[in-house]
Amino acid sequence: MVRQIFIIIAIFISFSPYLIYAEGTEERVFDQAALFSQSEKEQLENLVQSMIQHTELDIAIVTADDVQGKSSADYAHDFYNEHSLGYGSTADGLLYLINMDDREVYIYTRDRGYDYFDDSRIDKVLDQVVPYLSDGQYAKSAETFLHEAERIVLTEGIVTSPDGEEEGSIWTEFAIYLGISVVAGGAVIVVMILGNRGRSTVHEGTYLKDGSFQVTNRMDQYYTTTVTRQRIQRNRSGGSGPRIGGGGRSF
Amino acid sequence: MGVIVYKCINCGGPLAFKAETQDWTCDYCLSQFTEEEVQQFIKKEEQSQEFSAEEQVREQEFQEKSVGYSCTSCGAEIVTDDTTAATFCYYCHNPTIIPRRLEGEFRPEKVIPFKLSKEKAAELFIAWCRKKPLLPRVFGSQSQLEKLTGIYVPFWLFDCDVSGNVQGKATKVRSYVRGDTRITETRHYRVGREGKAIFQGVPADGSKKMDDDLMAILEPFDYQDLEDFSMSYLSGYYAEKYDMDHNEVYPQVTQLLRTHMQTLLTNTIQGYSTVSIQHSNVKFHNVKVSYCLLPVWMFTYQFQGKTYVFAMNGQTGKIAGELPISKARAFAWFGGVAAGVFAILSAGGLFLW
Repeated sequence: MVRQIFIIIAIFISFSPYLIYAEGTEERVFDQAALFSQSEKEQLENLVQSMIQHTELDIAIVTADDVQGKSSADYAHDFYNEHSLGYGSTADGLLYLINMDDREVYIYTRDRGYDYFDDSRIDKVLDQVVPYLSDGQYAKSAETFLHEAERIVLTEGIVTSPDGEEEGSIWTEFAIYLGISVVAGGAVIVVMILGNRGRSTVHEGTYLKDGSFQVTNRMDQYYTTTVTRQRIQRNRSGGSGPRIGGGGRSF
Repeated sequence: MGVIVYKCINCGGPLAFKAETQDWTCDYCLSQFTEEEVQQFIKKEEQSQEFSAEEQVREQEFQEKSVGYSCTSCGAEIVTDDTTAATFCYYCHNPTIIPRRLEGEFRPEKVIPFKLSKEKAAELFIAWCRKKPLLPRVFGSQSQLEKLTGIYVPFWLFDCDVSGNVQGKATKVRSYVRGDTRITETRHYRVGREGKAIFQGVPADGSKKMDDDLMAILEPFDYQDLEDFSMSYLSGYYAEKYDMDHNEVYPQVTQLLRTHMQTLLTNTIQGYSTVSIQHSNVKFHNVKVSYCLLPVWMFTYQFQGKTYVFAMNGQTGKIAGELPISKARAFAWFGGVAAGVFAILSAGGLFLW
C-alpha cells in the first residue's frame, strides 16, 4: 500500500511540470482595449505559450482602456492576482500592460520574473517597445517585448545585485574581501610612495601680500534650467512574501 | 686683490659665518665678531694695500682674462667654475670669496644668512628619513652625510601687481523625490570675476646648476630674515652667481602667478554645485625684481649604485628630493595592511551571518 502511494506520488511529481504547463495553455493575451487583430492575437498567443515553456515563467499580455483610476503598477498587480497568473508555487511571471487610459506601458515582474528584471533591464526593454507604441504598432511592441524578455531570461540570467539578493557563496564573499584588502594595501603604499619625497607647499596665498586681493567685478547671470527625472531604484533585498517589481513609461 | 679671506683680527685664523650664533667666531682663538667688525677689518686690509692706480688697472685686466685665483693664505691656485662666488681653497681649506663675481650687476641686494648649521641640517635630515616607512633601513646613517654642502643659491625675487579675470559656467543643482521619481533641477549660470592682487617675493632660482624642481620644493623662505648683502656672510659656505638673468626666469614666474591668480578668482565663485572656468586673462604691472642669495644645504647620496640628490632650505629646514624605496619594506607594508583588512572584513562578515 505504502509502495503504491509512493509510486503515485513519484508519478505525480515527475509529471507536475506538464500539469502546470497544462494550466499555462489558458488564454494569456487579454486584449481588453481591442488593439490587436485576430491574427495578431493568435500569433502573440502562440509566442507566449512557447515562451512560458522555455522560460518557466508565466507571461501575460494585457491591454486596457479603462484602469478604474488605478496606477498602471496597481492595475497590473491586481490583474495578475485576479487571474491567478504565475508559474509554479511562487507565482513567477511577467505581465506586459498597455494602458490606453493613461497612454502608458508597464512591465510587471513577480518572484522569479523579478529576479530576471532589474530596473536597468526593464528600462532597456522599454526603450525598445516605446517607439512602436508611439507609432500605434501595439502588436509589434508586444512581440518585441516577448523576444527581448526571452533573450534576457535565457541568455543573461538572474540579476546579480551587489547588495546580495542572491545568496553568494562564502567564497565569493571572501573574494570580495580579498579584493578590498588588496585595494586598501595598494592605497597605503601609494600614499607612502607619495610621502617618500619632499613636496611643494607653495599655494596661491604664499606670495600674496596680505589683504591685497580684491574682487573688482562679479557676474552671476542665470540663463536656463534643465530638469531630469529618474525612477528610484527599488531596494532588491529579499524578505518574505511575493517579490514584486516593474517599471513603465508613457508613450 | 683677487680673492678675500676674512681673517681673525686677533690671531689671523680664517673666519667663517656661524649659523648657530649668527656671527663670526674664530675657530682658533674663539674670538667673536659682529658684521661691522668684520667689515672694518676688510676696509683696513684694503687701505694697507699700496697699489698705484696704474697697477690697479693692470691688475683688473689680468683678472678679467684669467680664470684662476690664488689663495691668499697658501698661495695655491683656486680652481672654480666661472659661476662660483664663494668656495674653499682646495689645499688649505680656507674659506675664500671671489669678490669680482659679486660686483656690479652681480652684486646681490639681500641675503638670508644660514640659520641651520651643518650638524643641525644632518640631524633634521635623519629625523625626516626616520618618518619615511618605505626607506631602506641602512639609508640615512650619519657617516654618509659628510658631503653636506652649504650653498648660497642666487634667486630672483619678483614683486608685481596682478590684475585678471575669469569667466565660465556654473550650476546649482536641486534634487527632490516626488512619488517614485527623483527630479533633478539644474539651474545654469554664467559667472565671471575680475580682481587684482599684489604678489611679493616670488622666487625663481637664477642658477642653471640648480634643479628648478628641487628649488621650488624648498620654498617658501621667510623674508623676515633678509639682510642687506655683505660678502662676510658667504665666508665658510659656497656661493654661486646667477647665470640666468631675470628676463630668462620671468616666464616661469608669470606662469606660476597666472595659475595663482586664477585660483584666487575662482575661489570667490561660491554657492554653486559645479563651476567650470572657460576663459581667463591675467596681466602684470609694476614688476620689480631683486637679486638675492638664499641658503641651501645640498648633498648627494650614493645608494645601491644610484645617486640621490637632496636639498634643504638652509633657513627653514624644508627638504626636497626623492628617497629610495625598499621593495622589501613596501611589500611588507602592503602584505600587512592587506592581511589586516582581510582579517577584519572576514571576521565581520562571518559575525554578521
